[in-house]
Amino acid sequence: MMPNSSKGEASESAARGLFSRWFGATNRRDQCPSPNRLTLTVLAFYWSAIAVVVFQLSASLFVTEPAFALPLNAIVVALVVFTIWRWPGALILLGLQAYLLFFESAQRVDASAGNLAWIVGLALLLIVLVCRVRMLMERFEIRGIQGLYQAYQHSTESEIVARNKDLQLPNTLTNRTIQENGASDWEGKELAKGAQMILLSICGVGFAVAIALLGWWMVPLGPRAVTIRELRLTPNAVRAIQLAFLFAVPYLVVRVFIGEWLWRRISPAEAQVYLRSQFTSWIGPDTRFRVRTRARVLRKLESKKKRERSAQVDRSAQEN
Amino acid sequence: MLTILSMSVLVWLFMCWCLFRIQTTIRVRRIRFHRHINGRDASKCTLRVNRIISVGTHLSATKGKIPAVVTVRDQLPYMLQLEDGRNEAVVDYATQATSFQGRYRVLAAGTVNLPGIHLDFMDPQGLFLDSRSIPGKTSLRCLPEFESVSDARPSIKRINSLPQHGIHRLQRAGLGSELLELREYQPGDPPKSIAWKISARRNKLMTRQYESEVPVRINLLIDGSAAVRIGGYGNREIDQINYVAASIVRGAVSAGDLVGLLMCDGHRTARVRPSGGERGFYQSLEALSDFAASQVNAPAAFSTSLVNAAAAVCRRRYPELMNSSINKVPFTWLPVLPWNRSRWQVRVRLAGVLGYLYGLTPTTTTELFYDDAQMAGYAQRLLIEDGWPRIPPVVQITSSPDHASVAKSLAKALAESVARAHDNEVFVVLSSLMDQDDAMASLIAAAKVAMARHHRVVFVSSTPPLRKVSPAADMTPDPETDELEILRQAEALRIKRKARQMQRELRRTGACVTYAGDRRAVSIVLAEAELAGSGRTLTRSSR
Repeated sequence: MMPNSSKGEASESAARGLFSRWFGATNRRDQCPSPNRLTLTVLAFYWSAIAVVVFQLSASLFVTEPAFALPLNAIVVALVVFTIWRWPGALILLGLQAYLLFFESAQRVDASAGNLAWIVGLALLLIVLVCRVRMLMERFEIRGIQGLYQAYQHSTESEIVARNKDLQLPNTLTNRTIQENGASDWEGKELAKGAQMILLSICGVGFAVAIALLGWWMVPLGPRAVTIRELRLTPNAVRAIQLAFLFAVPYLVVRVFIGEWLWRRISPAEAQVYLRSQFTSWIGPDTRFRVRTRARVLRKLESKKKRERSAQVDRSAQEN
Repeated sequence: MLTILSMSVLVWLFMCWCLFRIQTTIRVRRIRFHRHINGRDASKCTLRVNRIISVGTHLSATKGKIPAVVTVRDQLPYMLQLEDGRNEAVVDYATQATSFQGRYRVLAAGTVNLPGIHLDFMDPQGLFLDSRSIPGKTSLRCLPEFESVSDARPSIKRINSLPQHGIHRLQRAGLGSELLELREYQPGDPPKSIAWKISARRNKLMTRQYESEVPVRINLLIDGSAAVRIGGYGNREIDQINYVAASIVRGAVSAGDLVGLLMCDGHRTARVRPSGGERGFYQSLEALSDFAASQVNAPAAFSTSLVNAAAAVCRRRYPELMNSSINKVPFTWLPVLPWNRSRWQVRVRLAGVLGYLYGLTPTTTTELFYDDAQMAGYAQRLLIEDGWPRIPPVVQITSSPDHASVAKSLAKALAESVARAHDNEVFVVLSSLMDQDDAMASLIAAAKVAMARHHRVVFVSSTPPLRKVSPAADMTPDPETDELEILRQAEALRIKRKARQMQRELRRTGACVTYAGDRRAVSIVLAEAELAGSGRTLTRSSR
């Protein structure tokens, strides 16, 4: 309910501004398409799916450690969500990976392949869902918690307005029907896209898990890694390092292949710029020396001219 | 277990990246765009200042579909101001074609270069971003706005009174309305022109011969120096000059007079021969438009913001060429600090693109890394070609040094035109006369010569875009709260004083002085043309 007094309005707007600053809500809602009820239902479905996946994932991961389940659950989930929400957070993911390489307990290795696949699948599904929700929210300029709340509130109000308008319309085809028919195409596409992405991610999961498991079981865990063991690494860390070296080979091959393929498809303009940048890197130091010398000489000449001019002025003043 | 989980995520991300790069590279080549203005093909349009145009962009895929997710942005130059509609669209789902439309206002005369469109590709999860552009260049001529003066009189009948002593009229036989002489009838003369009463009195057929209606020639001397081009589109002094010039041409052509143009920018002078009629009118408008679009650059000053602006333009128009894998930065140990290092990398990449765009040799391209003056010059050129107005950081606003050279060019052009003139002509000098304190002498001398030869000279000075000076009550604002207002008022007072001084100096020569911001400026010039045609002094129009 909106307060009537101006003081109340001022305090509310001030609070709103503060809230917006904290939670990143925006006031530019009138410049972008506002989400209708069906869109918000899809959004709510995604959020529910995220909650279920997070619950499942945390239950699968921390089932054997009830003492640490809750805090670890919260930290890991926050890290994963933060990683996906803001792309630079990938560094945190890499940090987590490095930490786990050295400190994960050896008993975890005994997990079955099916269990592993299930966990990886859930994690990737979480990534896909979070990304999709983020894109949807960006599309409708919904920023932060307040933005989401406002979107739901706005949708409810517009629903009431639409219902009132429907009562005034004599036709059977009401405003709401028109609105929903117009939007249904979009919503259908959104659901189809979501399903497609989930399917793709499941296929990707299968492939990724297969590669990871293959690599993991290919590298033997035994007394052979004597030299690295001398560094007092845990057996898992030794195996992960060996695995990293093993993965580096296909990574480099794919990288080189894609680089070569992209190079063969570049335009003449790109090729020109590339060659030019190579030339400039060769002659850069010489040119720098030449340009700086020239600038120094010009500076000296200018100062000399200035001195001569001032001397001439002094001389003429003395003569007068 | 978590190790495998993280590793799987990394493998999955890598796969997504590979797929995204391959898809983007293949699909961007299949996308075509078509731009239309007011429902017609954009390449066949001519624009007019202050008109609203509707620019539609249609995007389609030659094979397959436009992939999702793509943000399409049609960044039109600053000469077009978005009034309504959109200049970008987001393709959320793969589609065969998409289009968007925006309504723009044309702000100034000149050439509008419509670039290609910018595409931002994202993978379905929004994890990777790749910027591409589809090249395309369409140049449209934008004609200046003009006012149709309602009281433009056709020269069918002049006032029957004698001209002043010393003012000569060009008299020759023609088909005018004034009687020139009577002569004997010759076969082939129209029977309508036979003077029957005189023929009866002289007992031989006599024919009336009429005076030719010699159209008045109006010569517009236009200042197009860098000083009058400074400012935002629509607020520049050259926009005022163009408006007044186009209105004068319209009025003169309606009255059947001829108009010629002499356009000086301080370095070169362009001439359009006096011509009349609708064809001459449009030729003059085109000449004015081309002159407004010509490259006259004020001296550029190197600054970080100038380089950043140029780099932003390159990132928008040539994102592929700014890519770090294509446009490589040579390795150096210096600068060490990360922010200085990133600034250096931006400059090097910009130099690479500028080298490609302007066909520079690798040596000159490398010089741009270290030579601030050269880099500033090329960055300014790029920004101006992209349609940026001449405001900081594109130009350095100081006391414009080219006033003297422009005044001299105008004076020289005026003297040459006077030497070429046949009969009583009108010379209209459209220039920024306020700041030409020392350079005014040459212009005054040329005006005196013209006046001595019975030509008419009108000075139209551009008006600086300032607000009116507030009344006395508001003249003392609180200095702590409104320093800008005080500065504005001081500037307005200074200009007022200068304008009065300039008017006094120019009126001593007998020339007429007015301002581009004055509503009567066009009428004053047309009245002078009427006087030159009749050869009389007529105080119908106020000076």
